[in-house]
Amino acid sequence: MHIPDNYLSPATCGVMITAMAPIWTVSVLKVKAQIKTKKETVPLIGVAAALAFLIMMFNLPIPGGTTAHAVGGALLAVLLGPWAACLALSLTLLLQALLFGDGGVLAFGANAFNMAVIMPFVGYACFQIGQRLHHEKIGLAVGAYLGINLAALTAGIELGLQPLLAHTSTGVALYCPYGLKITIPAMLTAHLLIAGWVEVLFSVFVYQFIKKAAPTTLYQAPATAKSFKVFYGLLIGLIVLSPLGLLASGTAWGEWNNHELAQRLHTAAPAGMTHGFHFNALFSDYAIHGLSLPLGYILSAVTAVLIFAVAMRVLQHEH
Amino acid sequence: MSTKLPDWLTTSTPLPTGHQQRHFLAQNMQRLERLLQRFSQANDLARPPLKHFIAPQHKLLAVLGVILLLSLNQNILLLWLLLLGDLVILLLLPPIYLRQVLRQTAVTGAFAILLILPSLLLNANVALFAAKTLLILLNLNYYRTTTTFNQVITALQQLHCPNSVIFVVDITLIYLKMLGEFLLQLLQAVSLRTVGKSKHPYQMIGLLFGTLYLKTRDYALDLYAAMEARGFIGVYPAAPRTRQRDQLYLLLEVTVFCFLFLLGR
Amino acid sequence: MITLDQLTYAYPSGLGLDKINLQIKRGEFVCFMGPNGCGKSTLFNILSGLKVASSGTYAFQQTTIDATYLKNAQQRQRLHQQIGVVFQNSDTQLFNLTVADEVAFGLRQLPLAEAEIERRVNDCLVLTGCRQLRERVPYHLSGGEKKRVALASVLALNPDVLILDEPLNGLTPAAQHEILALLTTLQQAGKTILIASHDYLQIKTSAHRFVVFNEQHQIAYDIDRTSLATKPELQKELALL
Repeated sequence: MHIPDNYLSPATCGVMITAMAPIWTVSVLKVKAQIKTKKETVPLIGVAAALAFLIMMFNLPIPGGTTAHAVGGALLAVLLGPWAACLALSLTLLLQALLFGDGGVLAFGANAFNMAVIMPFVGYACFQIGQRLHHEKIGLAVGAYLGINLAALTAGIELGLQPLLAHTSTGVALYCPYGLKITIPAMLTAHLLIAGWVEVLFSVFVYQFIKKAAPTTLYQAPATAKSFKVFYGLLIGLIVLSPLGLLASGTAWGEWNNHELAQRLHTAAPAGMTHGFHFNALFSDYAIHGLSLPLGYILSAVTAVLIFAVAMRVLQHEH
Repeated sequence: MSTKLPDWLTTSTPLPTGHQQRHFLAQNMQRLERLLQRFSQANDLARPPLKHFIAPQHKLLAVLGVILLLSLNQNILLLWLLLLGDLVILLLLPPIYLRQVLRQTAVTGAFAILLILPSLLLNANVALFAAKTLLILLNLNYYRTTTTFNQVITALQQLHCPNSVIFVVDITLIYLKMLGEFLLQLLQAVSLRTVGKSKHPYQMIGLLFGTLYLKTRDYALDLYAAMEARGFIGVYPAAPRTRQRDQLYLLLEVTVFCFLFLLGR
Repeated sequence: MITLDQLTYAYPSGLGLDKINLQIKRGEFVCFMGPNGCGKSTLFNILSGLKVASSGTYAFQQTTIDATYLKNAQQRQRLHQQIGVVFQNSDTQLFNLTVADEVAFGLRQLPLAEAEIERRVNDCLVLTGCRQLRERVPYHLSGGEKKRVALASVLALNPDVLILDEPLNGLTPAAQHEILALLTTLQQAGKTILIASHDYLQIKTSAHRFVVFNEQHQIAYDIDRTSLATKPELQKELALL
């Protein structure tokens, strides 16, 4: 699930980082509110990030002798609250990228979006629905499964869009070489079949222990109905906006002809390219139609920020 | 307290037979030990201390700059130049670090190449992509191997990161070590009391991580109490002043970055 | 029962144990002493099979315990049944939901009937004086209670050798006395007791033999109780450790 560097174009990375900025800001604000009731929340985020790190590095056995690992996004959201979980997971991903070689440095924004936003928020939403129906554990299980699979789907989309977003004029992909037709099934099968269930078992068993051993330590959602609405609105907004952010950067390149490009990817590259040292043919005419690279980069980033600012404004009004 | 021992304590205990399973406990203990070793790297006798020619923040900026350059550009000349630069820097490393950087790059690189191999079937030309990926991995692994956790914190401070962020990153690194040690001992305790086939592994993992979470909570509470007792108001000690040389270095860095970027266009 | 020959353990940061030679017979009550970080815990980790010596040999009941021996799951598990370890920090040893589950954890892996497991759990809880804690969550117990529960859970597996790292820390004097009495009973029943302690005065009447490490991770003294009685200056030194 950790996307390494160079699989995403710098533009996508920029968009994802800019998309994360408002989410982190809101998380900090929400956590500040949380501190009023539970004062230990600030140090808890740091320590919980360490816990998340250990969860992600722990090899869980799966039938067949190999291992998988859980992310714990939904579980942490239930334990700490989704906002604190978002911050803790982001922190973990940052350290993993910088110091431990899991996930790319430039791809940090994308990884944070997939694992520190989608997973905890989807997981927590399902848990809350389960709680209302008096089946918390089922809610958490569904949330863990849905959360990790949605995150995998998003990662698949981010990767699969790359051949469309960044390619040479002859259609050779510059970053992730696989299109959506390959990345989405590849990411989803692994997670639907194995990683999703690992995540479910892990989350439910840990939750069960804590529920019995120390139920008071679980995160209590603020009881007002309004915050519920805001929370759901934001959740839906985030999910809708994630492909939009990418699309925005896509249109900025001035090209949006999926079928043709996808086909090109699957058919032969021009003979000159397969023969090694014709570097001129390969690289010199890397030019984006209509827009220069930095300009497109900046435009898409600003677009994402503005869209998020508008969304935030709408939500604020509701308050 | 009774002092008479029950009979089963003085006779031998029946043991289960014919049971062999590849144990995930041992595997995880090994991984944790390796993680914890990184925290005590400074005391490692086999590793000579590294000379640091540039300030931590410049090192961080430099590695980010190089990765960005590599990502942005499709120019073979630029890749070549960066590779030459990397090789020179690698030459200056003591052999033990050099081996580590290359080993890590080989492992992570092999994985990355494996991922793009199928695309060769689609006849796409991925040689450049592979070369760029490998170079990025080389640079990142160099950074990870030669930078201590403290230097990362200093770099963040010097780059004017908000105090609260630095504070939390610091806490995370400290408690990563403490929780890592705690988890390692839990795993050791479990393995010492594993005398046969245990119940469902996930049930046990649930117990272990549940306990670890309770410990996490306790650590956070203790830390909060300690902070409050010391009158902590969220201000981190000020970073040492940047030297003039560092400022010049920054200028140089930006110039080189711009030059290379334009070269690669 | 235990034979160490030129046993050395090296950490990346330096030596943990330096050429240790030691023989321990069945039924001995040995107390390991020495300054912090002198190698007691490292030695216990090697004896229990958690670590493998860098050089030298460790034999348990005439079988050499090395990396290849421990790779075999069945052999490793057999060793774990025969050698029980109570950690210095019992926090890290308890992870079940109730004290009863904690004690039954190892027993449930053995070919025993449920009634027999129940009986052994009860016996252990009575022996260590924690019957009233049965349904409590181990994590929330006090430090002294955790120590007792940890001992009970190790005892349940009926080990031949019992290793205890600072078992008396955090206990009230009365509880310390009870635990030492239990250890003596176990030793008289043929168990081998290995204990690390800082408190010479507390342990001097129970232990039969004292192995003292120096700061160079070597054995400085290996002396039995009767010889020690004739050396008041050494006694004074041990009491100050």
